[in-house]
Amino acid sequence: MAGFVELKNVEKLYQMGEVTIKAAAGINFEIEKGEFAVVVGPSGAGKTTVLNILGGMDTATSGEVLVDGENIAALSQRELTRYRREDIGFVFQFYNLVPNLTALENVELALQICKNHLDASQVMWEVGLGERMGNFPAQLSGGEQQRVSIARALAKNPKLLLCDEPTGALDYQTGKAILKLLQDTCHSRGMTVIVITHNTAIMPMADRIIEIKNGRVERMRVNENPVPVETIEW
Amino acid sequence: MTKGQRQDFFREIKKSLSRYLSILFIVLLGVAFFVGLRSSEPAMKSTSDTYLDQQNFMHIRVLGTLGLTEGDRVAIENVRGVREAEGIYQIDVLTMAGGHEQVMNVFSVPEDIGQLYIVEGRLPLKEKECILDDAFASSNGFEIGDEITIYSGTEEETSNVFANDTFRIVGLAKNPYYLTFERGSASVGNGSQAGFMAILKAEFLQDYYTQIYVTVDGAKEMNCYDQEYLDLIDRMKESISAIADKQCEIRYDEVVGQAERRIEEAEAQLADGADELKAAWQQLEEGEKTLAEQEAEWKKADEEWAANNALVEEGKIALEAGRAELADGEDAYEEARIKVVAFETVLQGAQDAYDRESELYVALVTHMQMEKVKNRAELEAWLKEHEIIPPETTAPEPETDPVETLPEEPETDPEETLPVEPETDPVETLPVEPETDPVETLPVEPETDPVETLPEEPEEWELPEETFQEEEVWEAPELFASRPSGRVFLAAFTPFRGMMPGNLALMRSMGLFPPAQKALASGTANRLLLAEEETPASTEDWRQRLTDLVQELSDLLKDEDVQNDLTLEDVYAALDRGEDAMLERFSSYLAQQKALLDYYIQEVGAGRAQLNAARAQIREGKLALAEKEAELTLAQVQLAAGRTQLDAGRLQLDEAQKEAAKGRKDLEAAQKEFDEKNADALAEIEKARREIKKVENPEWYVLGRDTIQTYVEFGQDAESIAALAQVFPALFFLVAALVSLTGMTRMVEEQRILIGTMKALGYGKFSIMAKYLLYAFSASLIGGIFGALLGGKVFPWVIITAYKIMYMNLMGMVVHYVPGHALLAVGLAVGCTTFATFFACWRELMAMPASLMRPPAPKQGKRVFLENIGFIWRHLNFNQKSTVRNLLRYKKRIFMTVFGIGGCMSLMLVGFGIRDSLTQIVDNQYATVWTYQAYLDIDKRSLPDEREALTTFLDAEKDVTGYLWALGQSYDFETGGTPINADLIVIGDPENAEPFMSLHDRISKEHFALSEEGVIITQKLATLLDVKAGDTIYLKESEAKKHALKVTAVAEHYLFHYVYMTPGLYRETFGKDPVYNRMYLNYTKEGVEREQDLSRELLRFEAASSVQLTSGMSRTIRSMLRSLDLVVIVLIVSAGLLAYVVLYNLNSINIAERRRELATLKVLGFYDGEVAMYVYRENVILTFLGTAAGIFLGIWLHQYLIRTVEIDSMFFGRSIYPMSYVYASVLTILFALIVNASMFSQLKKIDMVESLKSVE
Repeated sequence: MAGFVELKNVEKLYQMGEVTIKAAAGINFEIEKGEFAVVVGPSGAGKTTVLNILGGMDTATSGEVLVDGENIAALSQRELTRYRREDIGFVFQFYNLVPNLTALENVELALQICKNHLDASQVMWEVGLGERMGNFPAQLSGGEQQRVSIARALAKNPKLLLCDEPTGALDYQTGKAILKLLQDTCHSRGMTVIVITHNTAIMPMADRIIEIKNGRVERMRVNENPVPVETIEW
Repeated sequence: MTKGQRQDFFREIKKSLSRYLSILFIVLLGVAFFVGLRSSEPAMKSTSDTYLDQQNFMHIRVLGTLGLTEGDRVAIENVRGVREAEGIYQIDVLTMAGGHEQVMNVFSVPEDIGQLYIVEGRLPLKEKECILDDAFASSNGFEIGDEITIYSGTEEETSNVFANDTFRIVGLAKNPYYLTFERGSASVGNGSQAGFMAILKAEFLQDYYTQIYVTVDGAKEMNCYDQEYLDLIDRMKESISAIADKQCEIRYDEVVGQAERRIEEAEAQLADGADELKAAWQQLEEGEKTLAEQEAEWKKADEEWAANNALVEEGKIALEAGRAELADGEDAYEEARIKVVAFETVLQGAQDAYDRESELYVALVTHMQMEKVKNRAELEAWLKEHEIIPPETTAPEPETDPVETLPEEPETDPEETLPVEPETDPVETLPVEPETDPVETLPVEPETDPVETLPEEPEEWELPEETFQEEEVWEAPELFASRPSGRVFLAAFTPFRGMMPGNLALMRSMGLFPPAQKALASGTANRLLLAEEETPASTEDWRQRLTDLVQELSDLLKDEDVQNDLTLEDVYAALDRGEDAMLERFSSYLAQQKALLDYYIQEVGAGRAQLNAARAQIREGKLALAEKEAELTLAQVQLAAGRTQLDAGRLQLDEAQKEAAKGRKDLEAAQKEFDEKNADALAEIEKARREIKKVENPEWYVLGRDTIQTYVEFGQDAESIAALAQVFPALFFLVAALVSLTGMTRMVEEQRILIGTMKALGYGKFSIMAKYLLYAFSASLIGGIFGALLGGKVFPWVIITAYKIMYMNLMGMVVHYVPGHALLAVGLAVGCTTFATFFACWRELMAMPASLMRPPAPKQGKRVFLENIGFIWRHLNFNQKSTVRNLLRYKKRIFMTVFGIGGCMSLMLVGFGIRDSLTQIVDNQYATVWTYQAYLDIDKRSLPDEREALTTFLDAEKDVTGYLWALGQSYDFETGGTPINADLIVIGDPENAEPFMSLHDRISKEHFALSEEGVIITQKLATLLDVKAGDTIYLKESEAKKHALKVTAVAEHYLFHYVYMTPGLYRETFGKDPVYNRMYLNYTKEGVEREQDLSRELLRFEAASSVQLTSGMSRTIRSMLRSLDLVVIVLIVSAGLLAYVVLYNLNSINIAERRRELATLKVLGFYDGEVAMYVYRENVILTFLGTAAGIFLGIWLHQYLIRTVEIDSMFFGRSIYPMSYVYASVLTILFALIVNASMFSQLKKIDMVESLKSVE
């Protein structure tokens, strides 16, 4: 059985003047549905490229990117937008909440454009912000904001939840809590979650670990026994 | 500034070039707009001034009510300060062009002052050449080389005005007098000039100038719109006016004197005419008299002729009778002649017989002598033989010649003695002179009685006594015994001799002949008697007898017996005897015969003589008859000639009579005509006399350029641009300042960390600030300088070029930089931006470096007030809610956007509004206030009958629905302050004024009625005098005489000032009846269609001096207002630029500020359109808000502007038409849409990766 998400020989070339930079030099990996996958690697290894390509924010120069059997590498810009709004939930490092909207409204903002979405307030409750739905992002802490961000991504009921350094701007505890939320979501909803991080410490909690270095997948392994977040220390 | 700072500064500019440029350009735009608009007015004015100076256009023109003379011109030229003065002939005439009659302003080619601007060709150099209005030529299809014919528009003959009436076009020109297509009004034709035409001075026959153009020393160097110039011209106008009175007096005397002389001449001419006519009558009468005399004479001559004719007839009869008598006489003569001839034949016979006998006798004698000799010889011989010889005795007379002894002269030829020459035709011998042409000899004068001339008794006709004596020859003793009786008869006829010579002769001959006949008859009888009695039957007998005798004798002699018996002597003797006896017998017979013959001859001679006499008489008679006949013929010829002459005379006489009759008729006609013309002429003279009396002391009008419509209009247009320049650049400045303020504020905010770092590094406040100040300063300075340079040239160029569309005759362009404006604009722009930057920096620099080092606290989301109104909030969908919140989050942006869009909207609204306001002047003035369709200026001096002629015509004209008499007179009105000039209008019939004008309140439309209590004044006048209904104003009749008038109402009015009153109030105020000098007219729809014709007809009336058509005036003003479209366009374009700059800037900032947010939205899967709408929704709302705000701002600005630019003589409309709001809004929204559309690409370009970046 092919993976739910499958990258085949994905290459990404950036033309910087006369120099061609290979951000991705033939990346191959696959992720099963419902897996909590972590993509790790040092800065400049090609994580963000993978994220961008997976998130439909960028296209691969060559290779195939199959998401639920659909090759998104061959999609047009408009199809990519559709892909983003229907199939992808995105969690940003800096939350990227619209400051002028309340927490709930930020979730609703995403739902505006999504067909098969969940109830916003319920998701808010689920992420533990049932009480603070009417607050503006500025009135929320970083963790809370990230929860709103996750709620916004989850509420779309996406096929794939992409998280870009979700804990990067958070303190240790909050980061743990967020990771827990993601892991719980993954497990309870069967949601495929891909977390992109440079923090190798969180690898044990993942179902699948993909290590990227110099534009290639250095190592990919399936963690047969993922541990709960609580047990992880870094 | 350190090196690092400098580098940082330049890198900053490079990095944020778009911001730098946006500041630069908004400043450039603001400065360009300011400088350009401010420079436009001076540029327009100097363009106009330069063009006029270049054409040496007059500074002052002088017009005289009676024209101006060369003397006036010289007098003006001699006024101190006058550079030059040139006299111009000018007259409005008509021409057919483009298929209809048009008014042509014809003037003499200005030689020096106000030269024409030649577009093509050349000036006329000789007669029959002209230079034509370029615009007129192109609109009516005239070209150089074509001919144009003009004709007088008045009763005056064209030939009395111009030497020629057809001109060849040699050039096309523009006249600096007319800057636009408008050519001014005319007193002929349809009342408005269609074009001008310049011809040589010599073409004008008038002896006075229409106007004198004057140039003033030093005026050319000034700008003719400047106060300095106006002051100079005012001074000069006064100087020229100072000599006016004297010159006018001269002119008056000249004109009146001339007219009087002309009248005298006319009267003299008239008198001459009358005299001539009288002379003609006299001549005619004389002629008729002569004719009558001639007629009488002719009749007399005719009668005389008839008498003569009768005489001739009588003479003819007498002649006929004479001729008959002559014929008788001739017959008788012929008879006699035949007898004479017969007698002569007999005589001839007798003569012949006698001759033969005498011959015979001679022969016999000879023979006998020979016989005798022979016998003697024989005898002797015989005797000898017989010796009986006889002695020598011989025969007795052998020597005697018997012939000589013949008693008769046989040689006498009886023929010769015959007087009758039967061969001679008596007729031929008639003494008629055939060579003399009787006609030629006809007496010339028919009056002379031909009869009188007839008996010019010719001497030869006198029968002389001698001829009668001659007759005596004929008088044979017995034979003419009866003659005396003939003489008596002749004598009895003598008295008639003269008259009837022919007759007389005839008579005579008749009287003469009978005796001849008798004589002849008796002669014959005698002769016959004689022959029977005594003479042998014939000579033969005689000869026979003689022969017998000789024979006997011979025989006897031969008988010898006898011989013997006889002696010789015996024998001889016997012989002699026998011979002698025989001879004797013979001789006696011969003698007898001879005697008889002589008798006969005598008889014949007598008869012949008689015959001759008779013939002579006949001839004479014939001659006389011929003469008489000739005379008669002559007389007849003369008579015939006389008749012919008489007939000719008759014919001539008839002709003459006819002619005389015709002459009389002609003369009568002439008399009638003269009488008629005389009456006319007298009337004319009377009229002329009255005209002379009407001639008022002439007046001079000394006018400056400010009386030339287009000159003034152009100045006004320039000032309206200046008025725009007062307000609008400020708006742009404000926008520029705001834009640069936001830009700089943002820049400073963006760089707060840098500022904090710098501060932490120990740089001083101003050192740090310098970067930003310099940034703003350099951007605004460069923008400002370029703006000033560009705007100062481009805007005036655009505006003047645009105005030239209307001022098509304006040539050249003069655009000067106005340093003051440029400095001011650049200074302001640089100051504003730098100051704004300073403020932005100051705020940041005041903060502590630590706080600056931290990223700015993200702007808090806030509940908006609307959320508290749950009722509304709940009804908004998510997008609307988010939009509302977004909007309210950036208040500065809202303000800026609303201000920008509102500015745009208000500018356009003002643009349309100005046009509306001015259009309302026309629309309201001519549609709701002045509802008449035309008005007539009535000659104040026109006489009642002339006015009556006009009203009669108007009453009869079915297309004219009504007319209203009025008096219009200009007065100063005051309430204590500056007097205001207004027209006092006295409405002849206030009750029925309604169809002609409506006096009502502007707002409530309440209608006011004129009353005796007071006057109704127009609203602008009320504003200027600061009065309202119930107040009192003062009419200034003269400095000393003022009349208080109560204002009963203030009426809606737009053009000029009027004070309406009733005739009653006028009488009360002025103490006299109003003399109406104008007339308002209304006509039907059909009348409107043919109003041009109608006005032409009206102008033919003496009383009507000019016609103003409402349609024409409103058209003129409308076309004038069309220039305002340009203002509208200028405003729309500036508004568009403003909107674009502001919105683009704000949108750019908006997008830049929300880049991350928008990138997130994209990552979330928003389509580009959805992302754009997320932004645009706000913009749309802001646009609508701005538009709404713009309406209020626009209304306020419009009101402000209208009041600012409104001139004293007008009341501009205060409202803006609804359509203008629509136009302005639609255009504003359109501009906003364009800006937003242009932002779409920017939105699209936002990279999603941005969302992954950390907040700076």
